[in-house]
Amino acid sequence: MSLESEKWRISRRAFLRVAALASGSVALSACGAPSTPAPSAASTPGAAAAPAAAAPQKGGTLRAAIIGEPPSLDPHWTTANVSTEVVCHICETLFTLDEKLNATPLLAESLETSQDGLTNTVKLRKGIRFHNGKEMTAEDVEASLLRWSKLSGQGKMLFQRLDSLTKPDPYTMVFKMKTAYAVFDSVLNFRSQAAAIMPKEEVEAATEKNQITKPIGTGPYKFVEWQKDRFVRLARFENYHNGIGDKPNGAGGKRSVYLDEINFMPVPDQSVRVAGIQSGDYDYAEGINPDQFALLKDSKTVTTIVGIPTKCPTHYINKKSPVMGDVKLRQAMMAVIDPGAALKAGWGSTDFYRVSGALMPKEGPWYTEVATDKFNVKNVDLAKQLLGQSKYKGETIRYLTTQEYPNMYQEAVVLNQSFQALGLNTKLEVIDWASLISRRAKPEEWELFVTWNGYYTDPSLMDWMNPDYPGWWSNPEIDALRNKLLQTTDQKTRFAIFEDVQRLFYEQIPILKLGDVRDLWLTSPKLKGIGTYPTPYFWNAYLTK
Amino acid sequence: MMQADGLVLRLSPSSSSRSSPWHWVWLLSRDSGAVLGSIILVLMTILGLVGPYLTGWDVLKVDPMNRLLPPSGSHWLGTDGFGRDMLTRVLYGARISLLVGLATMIGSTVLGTAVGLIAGYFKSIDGFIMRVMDGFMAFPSILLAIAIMASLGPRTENVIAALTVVYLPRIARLVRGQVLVVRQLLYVEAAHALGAGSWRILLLHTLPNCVSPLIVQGSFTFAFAVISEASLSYLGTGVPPELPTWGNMLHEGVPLMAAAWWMSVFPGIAIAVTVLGLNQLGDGLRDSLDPRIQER
Amino acid sequence: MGTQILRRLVALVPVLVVVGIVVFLLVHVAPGDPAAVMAGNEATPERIAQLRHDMGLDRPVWEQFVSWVSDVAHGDLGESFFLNQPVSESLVQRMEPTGLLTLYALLFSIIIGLPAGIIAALKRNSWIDRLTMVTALGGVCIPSFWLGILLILSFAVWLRVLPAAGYVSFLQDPLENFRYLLMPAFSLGLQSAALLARVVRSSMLEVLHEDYVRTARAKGLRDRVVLVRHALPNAMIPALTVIGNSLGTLLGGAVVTEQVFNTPGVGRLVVVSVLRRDFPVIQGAVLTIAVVYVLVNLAVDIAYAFADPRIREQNR
Repeated sequence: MSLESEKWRISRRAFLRVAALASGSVALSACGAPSTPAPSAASTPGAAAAPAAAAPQKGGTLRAAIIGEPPSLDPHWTTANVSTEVVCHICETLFTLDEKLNATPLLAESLETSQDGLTNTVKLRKGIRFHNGKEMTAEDVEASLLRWSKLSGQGKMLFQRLDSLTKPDPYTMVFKMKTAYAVFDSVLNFRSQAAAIMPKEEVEAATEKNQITKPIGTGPYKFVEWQKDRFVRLARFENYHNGIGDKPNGAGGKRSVYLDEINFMPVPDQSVRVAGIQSGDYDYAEGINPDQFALLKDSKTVTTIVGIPTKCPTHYINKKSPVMGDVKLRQAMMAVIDPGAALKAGWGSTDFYRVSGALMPKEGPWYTEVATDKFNVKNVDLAKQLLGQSKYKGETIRYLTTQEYPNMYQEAVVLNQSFQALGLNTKLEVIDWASLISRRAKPEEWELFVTWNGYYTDPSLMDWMNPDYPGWWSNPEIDALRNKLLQTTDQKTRFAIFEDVQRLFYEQIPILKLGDVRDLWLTSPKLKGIGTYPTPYFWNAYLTK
Repeated sequence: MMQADGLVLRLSPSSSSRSSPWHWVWLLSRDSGAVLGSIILVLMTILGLVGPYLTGWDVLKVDPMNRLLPPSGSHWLGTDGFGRDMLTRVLYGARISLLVGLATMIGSTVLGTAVGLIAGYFKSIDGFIMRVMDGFMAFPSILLAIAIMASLGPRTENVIAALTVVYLPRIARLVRGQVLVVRQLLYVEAAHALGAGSWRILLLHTLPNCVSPLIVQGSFTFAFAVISEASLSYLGTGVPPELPTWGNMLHEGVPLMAAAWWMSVFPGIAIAVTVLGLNQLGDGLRDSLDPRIQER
Repeated sequence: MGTQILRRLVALVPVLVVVGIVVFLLVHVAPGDPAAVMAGNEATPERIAQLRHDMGLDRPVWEQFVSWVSDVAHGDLGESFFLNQPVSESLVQRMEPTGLLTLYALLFSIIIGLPAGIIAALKRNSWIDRLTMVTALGGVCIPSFWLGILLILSFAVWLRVLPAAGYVSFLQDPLENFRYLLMPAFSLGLQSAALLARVVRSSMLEVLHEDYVRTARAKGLRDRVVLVRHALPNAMIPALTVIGNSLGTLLGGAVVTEQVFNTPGVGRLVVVSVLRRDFPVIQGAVLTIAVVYVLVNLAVDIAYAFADPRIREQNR
């Protein structure tokens, strides 16, 4: 454990000093090098860094089948994943993630944090051009962050702690904080509802009231055309800054642009996406059912890409509900479930899931096994005993799930059978996603619901840590720990605080977390060099003849 | 106009003997399609009721370690994404599909007849009722069903209710037409001079005349309902997904068509065979009950 | 005739009022929040509330109804929540695929169903007749979406001769457009083709036994002449009924077929809009479909009137 925190500490300090390519080299110097995020386990190298057999070629149109229509192309507007993954090609953030899941600069040149953690100085890169030809300066960054802070929950929290924002010169920004904010850079590299930088005129014309429909950014591709429910078309930005350094490093480092155009086409039906890849109608398809893997992994007409574990299936418990407020009942649930069986049903094979009670992934710096002896116990007797100590009297437990994401449904069916075997009166309610997300916001309408949570660079950004997220984990103990975690800047102390959080988690069981899962993508064999973390991206990608 | 021809025939005295059930059975037994259809339906019902207990597998119990097994000696039709036996589920599926079809048929027939009688009898509200019915018929049926399901939520009763609403106007229109014709005939013949209340006369004369078209229409409604239930579930807006119906099996199986063909092929065949049975029976009923064909 | 058409058009008004009320109520009674869908999985409750306010969803339902009705009365179907464009525009963009799909499916059913029925009738009780009728029976019973999936699997995935899904505009490339619509139109049209074949066969058989056909034959006219001049035209009237009815059925069936083949038509628009609770689009699209549906039925009735001498007489 200490090794892990040590690594993080060095990595972070190094990052503060030299910014650019620091973290990559530091990971080597940190003893007991962490298990590298096994990039694309199975048949192909999926990470951008993978050496290509032939030299990348310019040209071609990429036809990408995505899971649905983006609700918006305004990066500040929505947290929807399908929007994020289109927009991240158009608009960029100050920071992004390297292959070790650490923050690394993108539009920023460096970040310096003062000893007391109250002053953050961000230097911007010079000569960065927007798609409209204008050069990016601190004016644009300030206007963009301001708009973002009004629309995004993370932005709001950051700006509430902000004392003043000054611009000593066009390429320097000083953020003075009221209290130390340990997740400053993590928040600025957030992938969903990103703190994307757009030209000042654009964001000020839109304000927070209006959605931007033709986004202008600094990204590798510029927006061309959007035909609703048909496609979003992007074209190569010829004046792109090409990232930092001379080789790619996760989503950071060097970014090369080879493709002429990208067509993002919403194809909601998974079987159509699969068939379209097989028939050569698409070059890229996402959201593929892992059960297709066995059939397709040796196919010559299709390339399979297995991602790194970037998210965890989570079954939220409503702590505001009179029934589920009972800690003993929640402990009984944790004791009875078989996470392996649920994940097997939802994700097919261990190529795609691993059972894990740790709240943060093995690949990152926050991994700890403390208190996980209470996870995956599968002990019916213990569960019965805990249930006996609870006040549960057979009240109905409404368990919300959806078939729009088949894994969520499949996990819930398996867990539900364990609950019923224990004697709980659970009632599975399979509704559509739109109903689920509106019902889960109302504490009186549910007891359990299924979703998944993406892993962020910092545990305090995880959804289950958010006291306002449906499920509402808020009580004096966790509130105190949460604040401590946010306001402490020393990494070693922060890690110790996080271990306390995990201990408390397994005492109070705010949610049922089952493990970590990987996504499956299909591409045409012609498509090389795509990256998949934090979201799939096509800079560095190219089509062979 | 064509209906009127038939009706005049029906009002003749001999019509009462024709409506005896044994007469129908006798007529049907002469029609090979109707016999085949009846056999299929009876077989499906028996298999649905008894079959799931004979296979030795539980229809709901999940077993993730044995998921997606191809057809074999122990699982004749393979297993699904939860490791459940497909044969047991396909057999069990007959229950719910037939239940939904039957309930929809009864529901739309009973309610449609009531609406049709009221509209035909009370002239004052006839216009209003029929405009509402026209309004419902202006939706393509599957679209109306989807819209109703989205607002009611996924429950078996709701599917039955939605499909009943979809098919009700057709029945109402048919019955109302009969009422109007009978009404006119009665008026012309001054039948109510016999002293009976006109309401009673209407019922007595209308209902028997409606029975055979309603039965024919009913068998087709049944078939449509089976297909509609499957389509709705395939689109993800049907009966609760945890229920083993053919539509739900297709919904789960289709995405894995290439990887586990048995998950979508067998439920599809089950639907096709059931609809075949219903259509054959319906055709047979129509041929046997339609006086114009029968007379020949 | 003219006044009758006018009367039918006027009768359309109350129908649309009913459709409007029904669809508005269904849409607004449904659980699910468009703002939550827009804002995404990780949005804060505040953000969702803000979006609801911006969309005007926090007003009382009756107020929303009144403003929608008055907009529609002025020919304005409103603005989509999700697509950020007027509903009418999004509908117009999707009319072509749905229209062509329905049309091709209808053509398929006529091209396949009509000759099949005639041949089966002429070769009654031969193996051709039996084969045709068994196939037709199958065609009626197989759910069209299931057939569509089998087609994708065979022709796109295994044989790779046709595109699995998607669409190319007719204006852009008519041939390519046809390739994209081939499988959807076939799977959608087969059921109507089967129905048509069966009806044509039985009405042909009926007509072939009629006196005038027998007379014509007795007069020594050749079989082909008898067939073309006397039997076919009379056998066509029930066929026309079936074709007319199938137009409506196909329009409805296109909803599911578009889903299977990812065709960007009006039907798919409605289904995805239901899933994302895009109220203005659902309302506008259903209203439009209802108008088209009713108008198509009216057109079919008019066509009968011209085709069937008996009805033509009555209307004179």
